[in-house]
Amino acid sequence: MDRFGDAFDDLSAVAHRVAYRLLGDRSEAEEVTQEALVRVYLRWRRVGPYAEAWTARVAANLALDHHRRRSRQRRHAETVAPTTATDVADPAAGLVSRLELAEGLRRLPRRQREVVTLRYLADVSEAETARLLGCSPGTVKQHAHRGLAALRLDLTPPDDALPVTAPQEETDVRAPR
Amino acid sequence: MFEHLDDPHPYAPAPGLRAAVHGQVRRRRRRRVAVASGVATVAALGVGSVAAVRGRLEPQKIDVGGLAEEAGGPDTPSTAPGDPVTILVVGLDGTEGVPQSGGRDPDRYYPDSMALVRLDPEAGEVRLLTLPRDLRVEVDGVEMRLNQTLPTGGPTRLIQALDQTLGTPVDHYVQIDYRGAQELVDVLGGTRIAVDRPVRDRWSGLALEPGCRMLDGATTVTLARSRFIEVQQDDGSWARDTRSTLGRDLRGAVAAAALLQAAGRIGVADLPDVVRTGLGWVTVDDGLDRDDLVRWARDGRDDRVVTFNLPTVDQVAEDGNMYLRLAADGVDPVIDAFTDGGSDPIAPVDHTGAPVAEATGLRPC
Repeated sequence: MDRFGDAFDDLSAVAHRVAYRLLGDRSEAEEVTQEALVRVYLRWRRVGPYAEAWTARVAANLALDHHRRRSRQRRHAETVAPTTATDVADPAAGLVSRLELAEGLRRLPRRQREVVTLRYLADVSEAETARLLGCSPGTVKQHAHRGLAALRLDLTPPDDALPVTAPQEETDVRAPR
Repeated sequence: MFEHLDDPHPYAPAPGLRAAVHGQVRRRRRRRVAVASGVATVAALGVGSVAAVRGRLEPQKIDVGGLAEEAGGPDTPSTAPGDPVTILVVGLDGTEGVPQSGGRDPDRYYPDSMALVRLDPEAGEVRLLTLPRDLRVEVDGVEMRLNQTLPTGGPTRLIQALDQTLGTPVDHYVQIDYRGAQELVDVLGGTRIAVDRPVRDRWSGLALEPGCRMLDGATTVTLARSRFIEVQQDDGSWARDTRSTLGRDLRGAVAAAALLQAAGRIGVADLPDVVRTGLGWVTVDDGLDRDDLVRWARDGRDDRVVTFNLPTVDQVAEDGNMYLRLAADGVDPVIDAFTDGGSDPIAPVDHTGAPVAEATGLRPC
């Protein structure tokens, strides 16, 4: 209880960052943040040692669910909602929009999606990501490499610039255990 | 990398967020206690009960790679009593020395039933996720059916495939062949399965009338393996279950859930016989010891069994064969609910077992 209380502000900031990056809507991001924190608190004894990574993963999954429902509602209404003012997309500058990112993440295999989300959306360290997912840092690197490559392929229009660029260190792929 | 998507305003927790979180937690804890009490029992597979008496037989042990605890992951049961544990349970096609799948390599065993079992003492639940054998998975760049991973790469490849496809780490591995499963059911006193409509399989001779039926080991295994199930309709005609192996997987899940419930009914007086009969039929990873089994049996006796079913779609591959692919939507909520339990007010998930029961007309009773 006390430790959760101490970590509350940091965890809420992590959840909000991940949710906002995917949703671009402050109200929806707050809704996701609250739900993620409730789940963390309910499982604090187990997830406390890696609470930041766990919170980020839950927030990302909840935000992607939001996206899915939005897409469904749009299809249902047979209208295309305009992108929000904060839904930045600038292919020339190598920037990807929220919609593109969410759709691309959803198409990734689950493990790759989790690694990409934790490492690049939530800025969780490689070691912490490995601890949460119960795998080695080498496996995290491998999933990150493959996930980013798949995202890059998915998001890149023909003959266009790459919207997502992997940091150099992520190309150092080791064999799985 | 994604800083351009950040909120331009500095973040500060909304006023009242702490109070809202604490209020939600209190409400859900109250609900969880209400749900967990008085429901069906389980004892960490039949194996958990089987091992609840010390001494005598040990299960056969094998070296299995890719388990979560090797990496010091969060689900390390040996070092964290009370934490959730995920066990991969595999029912083999054939018995030792007598493979039964015609036309296949006689030296290889194919998994006929696969499930992940999540023991979650804190939630008071044992969760069972059925794994379709025909699910198409990718391992090291090669696509194959899930049930091809075991004969081609052993439990390690199967676990890798699950990790890459579903993102579900596995803590322990338990394997049993059909003769063992049959013996285990018999020594547990049989399984109780509710039948909604008359069911038959003319090929195997299986015939079940409606009602809560007690099935012996042979009948339970036959039901789980049946490929040609027919269900009687209102007009008296018989309709074939056209879902082929998927229908078989679902019936296997019902049988597994009924087996778990049977394990939870075992009394202390019966345990010596159970031990003598049961442990000799199972194979486990070499990181699993009797103390783990005893702890699971002790902790899980009053837990409820919750079953999960992965949403899949049919797909005809380039080779003309039919596979199953994970559906584009609905998989994540199932995996999350299987892994973490609890309800999800934002994206409600039916994890009461109803989908499997509705799909088969069968349920434990």
